[in-house]
Amino acid sequence: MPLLLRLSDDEIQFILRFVKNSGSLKDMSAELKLSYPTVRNMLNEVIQKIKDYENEK
Amino acid sequence: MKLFKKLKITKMKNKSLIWNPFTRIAGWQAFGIGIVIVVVSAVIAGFGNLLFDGAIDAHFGDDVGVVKSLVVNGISLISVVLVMYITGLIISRDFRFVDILGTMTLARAPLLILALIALFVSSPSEAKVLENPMIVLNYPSLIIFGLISIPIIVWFVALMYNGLKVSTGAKGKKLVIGFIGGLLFAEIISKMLIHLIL
Repeated sequence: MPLLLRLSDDEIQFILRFVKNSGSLKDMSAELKLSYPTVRNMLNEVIQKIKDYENEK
Repeated sequence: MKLFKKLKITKMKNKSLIWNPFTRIAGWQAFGIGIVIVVVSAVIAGFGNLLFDGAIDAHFGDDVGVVKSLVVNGISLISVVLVMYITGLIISRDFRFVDILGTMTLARAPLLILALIALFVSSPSEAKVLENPMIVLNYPSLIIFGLISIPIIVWFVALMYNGLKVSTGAKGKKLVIGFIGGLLFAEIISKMLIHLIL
């Protein structure tokens, strides 16, 4: 199964938002009304999950 | 993926924001609000002869005054921020100093409540307490203050814990051990600095 399809809806939404915000966590935190470190931690979780899936291969 | 539940943050309850406002506010914004509260708390505590003389300490003293209260509170805050920053460097790899600064400063907000209550507390002089520690039992307002201070300190410590958690993104045992060790170390450092400077 393609890696992206293994992610949850929320995680895919997060990645789409990340792309639409040109990778700016600062802009994303303003859009989501969350603090910068919270958004950065969310990104780190997605990165970790992707790495875990890659390691499974 | 606990964090992703927070994507639906608009539904986040105020209750959880009381314990962890740092999912919404951190960095310079938290520092700006926090430092105003810290200064106001220190000024009020000075009038109430209350000293926040340590990472999680609050003691009554004789003729504390505003200047001493501000200096002691400042030393305590700086000690906590620096020690938690070093803790962050050990338990995490990717975080900003300004988030530690902001969250640790805003975490001191509950101390404002203690400072306000202290205005209505009468306490014996330090000499009298050293002579006979049981004398505090003759001061009901001091006992009530002690009882009220327990949940306030719990709230304060929880805020610091969540501040470190959000700022560093650390989890599990690493976070818990790092926080407890950091808090103890900050307590020692602040006591030493207060003793050296004052």
